[in-house]
Amino acid sequence: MIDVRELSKVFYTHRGQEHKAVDCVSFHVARGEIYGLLGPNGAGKTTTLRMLAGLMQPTGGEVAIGGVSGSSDPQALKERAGFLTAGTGLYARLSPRETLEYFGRLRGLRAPELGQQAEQLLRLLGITAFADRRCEGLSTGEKQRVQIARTLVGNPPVLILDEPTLGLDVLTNRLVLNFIREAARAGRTIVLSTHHLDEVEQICHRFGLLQRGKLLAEGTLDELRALAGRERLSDVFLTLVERVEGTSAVDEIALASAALPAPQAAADAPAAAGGNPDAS
Amino acid sequence: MPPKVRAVFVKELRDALRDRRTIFAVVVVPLVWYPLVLLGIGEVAQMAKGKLEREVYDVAVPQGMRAFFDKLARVPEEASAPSGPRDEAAADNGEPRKAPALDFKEMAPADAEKALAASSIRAAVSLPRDIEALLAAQQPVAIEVQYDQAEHRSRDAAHRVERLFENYKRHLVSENLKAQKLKREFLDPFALTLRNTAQAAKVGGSLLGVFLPLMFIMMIITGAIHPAVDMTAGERERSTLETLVSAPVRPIEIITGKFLAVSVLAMGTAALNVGSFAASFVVLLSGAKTAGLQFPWSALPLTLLLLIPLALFFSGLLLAVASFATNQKEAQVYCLPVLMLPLLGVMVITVPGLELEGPLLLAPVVNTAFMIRELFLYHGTAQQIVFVFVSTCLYAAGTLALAARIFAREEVLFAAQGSLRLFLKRRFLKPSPEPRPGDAFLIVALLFPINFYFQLWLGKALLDPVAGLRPEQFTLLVVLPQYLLFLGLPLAAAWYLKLDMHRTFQWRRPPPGTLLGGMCLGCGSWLIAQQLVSWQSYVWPYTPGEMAALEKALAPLSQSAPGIALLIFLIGLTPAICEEHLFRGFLLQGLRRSGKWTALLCAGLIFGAYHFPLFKQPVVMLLGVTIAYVAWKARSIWPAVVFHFFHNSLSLLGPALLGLKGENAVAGEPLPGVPLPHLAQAVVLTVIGLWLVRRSRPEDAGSPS
Repeated sequence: MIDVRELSKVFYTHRGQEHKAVDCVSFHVARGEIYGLLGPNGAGKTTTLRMLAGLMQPTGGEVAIGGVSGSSDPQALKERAGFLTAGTGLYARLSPRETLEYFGRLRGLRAPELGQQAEQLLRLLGITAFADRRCEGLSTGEKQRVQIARTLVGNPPVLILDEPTLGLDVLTNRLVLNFIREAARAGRTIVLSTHHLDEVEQICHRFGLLQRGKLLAEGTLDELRALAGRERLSDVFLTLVERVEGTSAVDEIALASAALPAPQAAADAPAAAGGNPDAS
Repeated sequence: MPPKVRAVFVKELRDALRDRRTIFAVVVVPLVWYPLVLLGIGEVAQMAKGKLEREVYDVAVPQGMRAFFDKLARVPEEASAPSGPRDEAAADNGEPRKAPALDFKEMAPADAEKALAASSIRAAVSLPRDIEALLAAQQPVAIEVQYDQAEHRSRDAAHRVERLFENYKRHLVSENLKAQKLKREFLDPFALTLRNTAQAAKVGGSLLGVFLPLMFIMMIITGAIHPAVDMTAGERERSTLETLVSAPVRPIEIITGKFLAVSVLAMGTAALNVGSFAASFVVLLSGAKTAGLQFPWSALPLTLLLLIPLALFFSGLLLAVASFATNQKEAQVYCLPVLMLPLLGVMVITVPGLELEGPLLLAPVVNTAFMIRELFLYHGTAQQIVFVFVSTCLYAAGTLALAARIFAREEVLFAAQGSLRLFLKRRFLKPSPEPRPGDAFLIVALLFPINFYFQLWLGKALLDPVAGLRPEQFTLLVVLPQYLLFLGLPLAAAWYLKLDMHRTFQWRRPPPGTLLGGMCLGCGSWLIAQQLVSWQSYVWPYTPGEMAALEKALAPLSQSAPGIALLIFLIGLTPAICEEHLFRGFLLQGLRRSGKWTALLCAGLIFGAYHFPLFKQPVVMLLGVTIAYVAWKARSIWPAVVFHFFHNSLSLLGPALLGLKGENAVAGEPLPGVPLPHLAQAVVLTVIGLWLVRRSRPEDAGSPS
């Protein structure tokens, strides 16, 4: 369903220097599959997903959804993919119903199909009770439900979800994860990114591990466990990073921390005193 | 309107109208502002004036002279001035005159000077102590009033003292005349009155002509600025922009929908402003003694018409500027220079002696402000209105193109901060097969005023008999701008934007037959164009423009073979190559995505708009559409070049070749038509040409040559 071939993205700093955010990434996601793109902050997950959703043009390589390449026309990708990210907002002065109708129109839906689909989504996600209230008055959980419904308007076969659970409470978090599972069961292809590795262990069919723009490893959870010889996904990730780069991200931070100057109070205290400075 | 553009437009309008800030700027400000300014401030001014009139000023007088001044104050007011013209407009407002309220204090001259400096008195009068004796003896008397020019009250007090003495003078003259048994006419033999004959509405227009353009333009910006900032930087700030661009809608559709919504709000603000101002003005006049003043109602419809493209212009400009900002505060700072534009316009129109002509006619914002003032003064020609309207429409299209170009950029959508450097630097641009509609509009909007000013200057230079240019001088001046502007600029733009040159300029080998078709069309169209212009001259009297002077100046060249060759190069070959690269190359390819007939019509209309004078433009527009059709069908620029070459060359040399002894065109009279046999041949040639072009198939087109 989704073919990503040697995808690269280069950004330029204000001084004109190159920064490779995504470096020659390739993977394939089959229909009905949930693919987890995992990695720490700054790994290139969001940039990769934006290219998948047609929001950004790749510097090199290609994205194709359902055999249609986005290189020549990014609109082709946007028509086939619904995009959801934790950071995006809702139009405060529109109601959930108006939001769904607006995005439905942008996806080419017309009445009466537009109204029917909006109504169906409002019911499905339990939004009906507050469907005509302005979004500015909704709680975070209610807003996230509206965002999910907005992603589903027009019935796109692919969903691209960037950190969909970021900043959500436990209940809403559960709701979002259930929705992802159900959407895949209904035949949708899903690519999602997160740096909460353990959270998605149970819902993703396959994983791609990104570090510094490069795809370190790819496979099912079992394949990755076998590859790294570790049980938990977060341990798998750290082991693979360490193997490829010679040192893990955590070690790097630990090394960097060691070079930090000691706090003023501790430095002034006699070495023999040690212990808690508060005790002295 | 395309459905997605309409969806964005409706949503943005609905969203904006639910925003209290928009409602305040669009509705509340105009409805409250004018009544407040015109009625409220007027009331406050009256109150202040009344207070000042009632205030009593202390005035220093020489020791022992207070009785004299009290006597002066009691002298009855004389009916009329003994001499000098009377200005009706400046005449009194009918209220009974009162003795000036002054309190005289006796002081030594040195003390009076100190008190005046300390503002404890308002004026000091020095005069001879024996003034009454001197006056009785009819001896010269010198009176001096000292006052402080920098103090309003001191000026007022001096004026009151002056009035007191003037009245006393008239009283004395009247007494003297009586004593001599002479009539008043002895001193005042006739009465001179200055009577104002201007229509009341024109007086109103002259008073409002400077103030109103500034107010209207400022209010357009007031109406547009908040929605423009909210729909761009506001969307980024609230993180809704990424959601919006993830929908399958093109950036140009998004920005056009937003542009239309901002424009509607700006126009709504402008209309409410005009209405509110007119209503306040009428209320103000009905309550005041201003018989000689009326609101110039008949200027209103055209004023509103001119404000439409201006609203579009500012909407595009503000959207473009605000797109760079990451948040609304930043955007408002970026928009500040835009607010300065109307002030610039008003500064220009208040310069005495300036006329709405030449460069001013096409100067953005300034031309509209100037035109509105002219309309309020019942001046202004239809040609001026057309120029101002069309040029502002073109600038509005340019600002929309700029906004679309900025808005669509990834660097602007996703960067933490929009960077002009990233936007402009060529290395960050992605190669593209052909220009976007925005690029095409930007180039033609940029070239339009440059070309206009150049043609204007060239025409003036040619018409000047003393400092006029000789043929060898203007040859270069005709050729250089053509190659630099019409050929050089599109080529440079295509290189800079990393466009595919062959596709952008359609440098393909044309299908067989289209070159011949272009030739037939060029050979036939010039006579048909002449006939159309002749028919047009019956309903629209012919007005020779600057280009007629150029043709006249070039006429001597057609007497010799080298001269004819030079003429063909100047008028035939050069425009055929250069103008085709701009209009049928860059512009037509830029518009290709908008559909065949939209592209052909737009390219034709813009081609026509570039050809001055106005009289020629309808026929040139038709010609532009036909040439665009040829280029479109052939998918090559070369048949269009051939068409243009033969049309231009024959327009100049054809009459002599065919032995058409054309009578000289006279301004205001119908132009001579084309003899029927020649016209029939021209129609046949044109039909054959069109048939040859029409039968060509795109697959016949060769690879890029």
